[in-house]
Amino acid sequence: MVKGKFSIDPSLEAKMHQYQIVGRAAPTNKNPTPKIYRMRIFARNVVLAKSRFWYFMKRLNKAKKSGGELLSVNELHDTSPTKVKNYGIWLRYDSRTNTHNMYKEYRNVNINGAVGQLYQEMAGRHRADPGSIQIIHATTVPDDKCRRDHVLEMHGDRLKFPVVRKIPHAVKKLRTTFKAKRASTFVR
Amino acid sequence: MSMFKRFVEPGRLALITYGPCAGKLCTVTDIVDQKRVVVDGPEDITGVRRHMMPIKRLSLTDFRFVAKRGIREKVLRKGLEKSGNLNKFWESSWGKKLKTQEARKNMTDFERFKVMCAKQKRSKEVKKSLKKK
Repeated sequence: MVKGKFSIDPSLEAKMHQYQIVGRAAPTNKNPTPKIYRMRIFARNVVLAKSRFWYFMKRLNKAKKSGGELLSVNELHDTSPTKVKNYGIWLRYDSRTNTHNMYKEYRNVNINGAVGQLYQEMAGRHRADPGSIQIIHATTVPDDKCRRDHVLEMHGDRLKFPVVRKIPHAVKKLRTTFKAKRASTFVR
Repeated sequence: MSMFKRFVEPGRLALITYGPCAGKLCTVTDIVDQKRVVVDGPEDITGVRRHMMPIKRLSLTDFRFVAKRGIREKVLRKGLEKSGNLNKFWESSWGKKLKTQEARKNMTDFERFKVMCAKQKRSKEVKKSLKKK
């Protein structure tokens, strides 16, 4: 039993982060106390999050970054990072010709991971750049409200499956160019 | 006759074969999707904290105990203890092989010297018994 300090593999961590950003436009003579807005932004880091905040503020609330004030920027963390959840994400994205609404579902352990999956999938399936994707709403969805087959098939108390084809995945140190035996993809 | 005997299911004992936890035992506690599971060897027993891991990095063992999805740490601990799966694994031929590999890796120079002497002794006996014939 090899025991040591536990360290989570950085390649397994979610690359996206969720930020709560609160800000308002610059006060003007016409509007000395502009409304304060709060947004939940998904971005890789704080810098991108702030940028995205002002992107939305300009489009929706006529508030520009110049003169506008950021009142708070906080990273939001998941309350149950080891509990598997279904995430439903409503988004709007620009394809090459039009703009579309979409609803996608993912199974993940935290929302950052799910949103990360979303961006990867949108890039792969629809060739959509992250800049052309706007996340309208992202939330956990209870099992009975899920709509997508690939999520529904992971529900159920008695779920179990064998590893049908296992591609050998050796630690980097043990990898060699040549091997004496052919790899076996069968797992008992 | 069923072809598969080892399933990805809650309560299944698995060995992690890649990453910072390589070589440690853990139990599957929940299934995320076709490729990922949530794994926990309670941290103080095997050194694996509860986290999500791709199935690619696991080698399933023969041992499991009946568990519900999303099994909590307390119940997991009780299950492991009652089934004695960790000990069963280390006493299985796979576990024994791992132990000898570890022992060889951690040998000191003196131990290697002792092994060399023992091997020489053994081969001398073998040669002697062959010569008699």
